Amino acid sequence: MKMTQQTIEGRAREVAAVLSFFLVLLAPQSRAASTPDERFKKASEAYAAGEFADAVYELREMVNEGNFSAAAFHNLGDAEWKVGRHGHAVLAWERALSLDPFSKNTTANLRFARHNARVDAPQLAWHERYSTALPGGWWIVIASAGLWGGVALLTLPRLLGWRRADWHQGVAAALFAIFLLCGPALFGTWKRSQFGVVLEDDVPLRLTPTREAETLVKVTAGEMARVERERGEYFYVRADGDRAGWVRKADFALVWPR
Amino acid sequence: MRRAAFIIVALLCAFGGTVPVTFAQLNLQRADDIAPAASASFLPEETQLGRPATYRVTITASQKPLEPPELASPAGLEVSFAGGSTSTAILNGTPMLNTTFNYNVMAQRTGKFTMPAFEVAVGGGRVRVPGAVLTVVPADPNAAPYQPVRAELELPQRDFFAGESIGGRLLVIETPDESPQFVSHVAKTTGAAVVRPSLRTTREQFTIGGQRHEGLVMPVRVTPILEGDLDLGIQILVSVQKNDSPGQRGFGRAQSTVDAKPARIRVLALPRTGRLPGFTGAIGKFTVAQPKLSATEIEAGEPVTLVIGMVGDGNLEGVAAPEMSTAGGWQIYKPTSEFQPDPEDHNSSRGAKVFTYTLIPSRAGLKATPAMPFCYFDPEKRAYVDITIPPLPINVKPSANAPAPTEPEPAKSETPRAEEQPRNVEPAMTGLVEKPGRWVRSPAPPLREWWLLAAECAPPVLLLALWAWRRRRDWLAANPQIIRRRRAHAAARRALARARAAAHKNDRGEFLRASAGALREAASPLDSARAESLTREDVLRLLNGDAGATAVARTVLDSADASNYSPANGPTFEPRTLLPELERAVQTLARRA
Repeated sequence: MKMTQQTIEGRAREVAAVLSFFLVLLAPQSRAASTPDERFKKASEAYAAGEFADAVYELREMVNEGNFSAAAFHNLGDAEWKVGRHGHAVLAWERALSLDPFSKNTTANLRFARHNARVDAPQLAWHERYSTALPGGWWIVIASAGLWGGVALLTLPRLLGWRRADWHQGVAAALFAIFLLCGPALFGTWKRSQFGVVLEDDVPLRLTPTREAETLVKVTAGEMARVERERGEYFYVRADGDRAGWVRKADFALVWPR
Repeated sequence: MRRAAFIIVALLCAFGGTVPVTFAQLNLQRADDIAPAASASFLPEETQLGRPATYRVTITASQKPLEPPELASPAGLEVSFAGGSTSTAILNGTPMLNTTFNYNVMAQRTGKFTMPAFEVAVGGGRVRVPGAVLTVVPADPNAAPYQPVRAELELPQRDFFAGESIGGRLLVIETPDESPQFVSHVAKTTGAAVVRPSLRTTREQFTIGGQRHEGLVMPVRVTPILEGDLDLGIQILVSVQKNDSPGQRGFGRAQSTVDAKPARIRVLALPRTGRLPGFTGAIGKFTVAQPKLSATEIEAGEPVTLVIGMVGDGNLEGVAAPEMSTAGGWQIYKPTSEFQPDPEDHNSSRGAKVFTYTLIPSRAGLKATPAMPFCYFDPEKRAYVDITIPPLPINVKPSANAPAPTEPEPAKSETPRAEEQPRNVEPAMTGLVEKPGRWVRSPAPPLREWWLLAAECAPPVLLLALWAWRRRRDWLAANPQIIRRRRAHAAARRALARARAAAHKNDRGEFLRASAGALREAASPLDSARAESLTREDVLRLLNGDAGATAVARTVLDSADASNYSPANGPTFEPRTLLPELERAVQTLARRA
């Protein structure tokens, strides 16, 4: 009888342990179970209530989980600006604009941020400006469609034994022209992938990629610079006015993370 | 007569005594007869540990300048060259040089140090420099340690702006042991700035950190180039006089290299906001004198000179001339400028600059020169100050040679309209986006995604596959016997499979039908007829040369015919025994096809 009692107690402990284990397993799942849409809504409500830090937290968590949208980045930029993290705000708006270059609101916010932070918009080459007309992914799709569509129109009638028509060549020429027009945009898109944003104020650009290196010049939060090299925890960046130096990766973020 | 003889004798004696003495005094020897000589000594000959001494080598009567000799210093004695000097004397019309070389000497321990004798090449021969002894005694515990001269860069205590001309002082401080005599060289060691020392140095008393000092003061001008925190380091080469004991001037002189304590300053970028039109880099405090025109009444096409004087304290030397608008009927040539530094101190930031413009009116009727936007940045107020040059009244008459038509004056309206200011809309932040929109996996375009590469490879792969298919199709169309052979082989394999199944079931009738079909199908590519049209003789002919295969084919075909035409006389053989030979016969036919 005594043994039976001990067995029952032992079983009860085992069951409790198994239940606790599953509860622990389920706990993060239930927290992560909120969808990106729900998080977005929650962040918007927090922002509307003046809880900007909460809005930043929700939106950053959402982004960290790999859920990106132009609207999420736009709102994240708004919230970051409200909590005074101007560099992070510019970064979020730049990312929003790369996803949706047609957004007038995001463009206006970037203009507002640069006016207030007294920094200039980055000087873009002509092909880089050209590439901003459409999202980067669109250029790839259009260029692919232009090239392979043209090739298909020239080769398929022969391969499939279709009757050749004049319009085949006309449309193929047009598609090849579209492909050629996409070339500079693709190059510009690739070059724009080197752009990043200074996240903090008075970030030193150093002579060498070391903590104790001589400071050449300091850059302001929200300034954009081009990454030219990378070594360890440092990027070698070049800002407008030919100001160049090594910057810590913690103080600088690429608009298009690698 | 005797008196005269006495006077002559007395004069001769006087001359006989004084002339040799005079010649001896004048040292009227031949220059070639004077041999070079050398001496060496320590100054002082006895010193305390921790206090420097001077080792001096003097070489006389050399005819050419000498190089300082390299010394083999005894152990425990640090010796460094501290400059030399040369004096010239003329002996019998030949210049002779006396050269002195000084070396700083610092003992590492007490004791006697002997600088050994050595030889120096002088002219064609060698001169022996004698040895010298320095006695180093223990330091006086009550005496202060030896203090060399030091230097400090004194700059105003405020933030500066990149491009600003900052006036400062380089202070070379005298110590009880060393007194600076003059600064021979100034060099910048660290910091992104341009340093311009003054040529004039004064001996003054000054205060550093609440303590009064005496020393040399050299005005310097510093122009930072980049913004940021700047550590400005300066190194000077100074000639010092060493005191025998603290406060007591000695005769030892040496050159010392002194590093000034780095001066840390904060350099800001010029503010972008509030920048007025016509900023050409002027930073400081300036005033513009009344502009002067060379004439107030000219003809169209006749040049007139406009002179603008600018006076003040700042980076005036590097200020570019403001640009004048070419609109309004004036042709304006590139201006010239002339900088005049402060006559009392050429190194001060004060000065005057004169810009001279040459203007030519292109038509008559012009009443004033164009206005010229101009401003400077005041670093103390941290604001831009407008010093726009106003239009100057002038009367432009038609040219006497080619009268230019006057521009008709615009009709005066009854109610003059106030000039509209261009609207300047301040940017504002927009609100939140209400809908999240489409979710994507990355904010970056898929330039480095693997699936993009796969998608880009798909069309060429598809087109290549299509091309290969087309080629094969065309090839088969050009070679129909291949299709026929393949079909015949396939049909033979199917018939043979049926024959095997029938053999397993011991179904003789089906075995014969399937076997005959397999033979005919296998033989059909070798003949132009279809398989079902081939006769027994056709098949046997095609198997010609293979006796075993011919025998089994004959058996099968005969039995099949017999079975077809007289079912009562059914075959008597065992199908399983025929099957291997049948398979070999079919393979033989297939190979021949």
